[in-house]
Amino acid sequence: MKFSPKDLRQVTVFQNATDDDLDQIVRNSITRSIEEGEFFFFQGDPANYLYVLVSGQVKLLQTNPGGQQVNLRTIYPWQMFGALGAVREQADYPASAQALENSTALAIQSTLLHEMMETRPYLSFDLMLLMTSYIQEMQARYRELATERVEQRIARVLLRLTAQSGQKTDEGIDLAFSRQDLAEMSGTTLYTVSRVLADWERRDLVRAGREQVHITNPHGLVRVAEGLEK
Amino acid sequence: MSNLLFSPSLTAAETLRRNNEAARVFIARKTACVGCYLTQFCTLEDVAKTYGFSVEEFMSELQSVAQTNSFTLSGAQNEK
Repeated sequence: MKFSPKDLRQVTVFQNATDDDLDQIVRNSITRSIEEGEFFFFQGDPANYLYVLVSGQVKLLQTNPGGQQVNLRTIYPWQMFGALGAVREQADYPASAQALENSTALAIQSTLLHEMMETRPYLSFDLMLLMTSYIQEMQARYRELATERVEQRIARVLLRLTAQSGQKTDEGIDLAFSRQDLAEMSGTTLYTVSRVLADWERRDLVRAGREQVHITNPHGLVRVAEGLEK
Repeated sequence: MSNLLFSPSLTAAETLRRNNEAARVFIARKTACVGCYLTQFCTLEDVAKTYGFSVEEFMSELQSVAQTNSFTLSGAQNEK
């Protein structure tokens, strides 16, 4: 997977970096390619590297002591992940990073970015931009968890996924995603997702197949997500 | 007709992108479109059908707000 240092400018944290900075980063970093299902790092590993995804797709997931998994976010090309070590010394990764498809990422030493940030305020500032957008997103998800019914949460996740990867067809919108994914992303169980989807099928909002959801009444689903009914 | 900015097959997302003021019409029509995740999937025709109003009147309001920065809701909506 070939890329030029300038490609890194697509990364929020590097949007204002100079050509010299980008050259230095690429020169001192390694490119890692892994296959679908493999991990860039595991929750609890020392956060010695931060990553910039070059190609593929990666999910960040956290596991509780009981083994239940929660998907925190999906990473797309030119997004940074695992950057905690650049800010905090002796940090461990708070989540695991698993490739959803064959993926390539640039592994940058956490200490390198840390040292560069000391003399380049724009790197710190742009990292803060990334962090604050994550915090806002987490606040929104916390609010949803605390205040919304589970049905609403699943509807919102489905809408978010649809906006990102839905395919419009003559009869509605198709979305390729498993019930397990939906459960992890909406912080609920597979059983609850199946129950809610079955209810929505009865109400002609969706048709759920294996690894696939077909939204037959998009507006109806928006009403559920927004709490405009019942 | 060539200077019409909007057509029934235009998506809500594209309509809102082309003209910021269009949001006022969507809100006045009491739709949930502004800020909705699915605007890229719904055409103006879909919106009109979903909420049960005339797509022609809807488009002329959008056209009016784009050109003159003001609009008047047509039909029964006026009586609100």
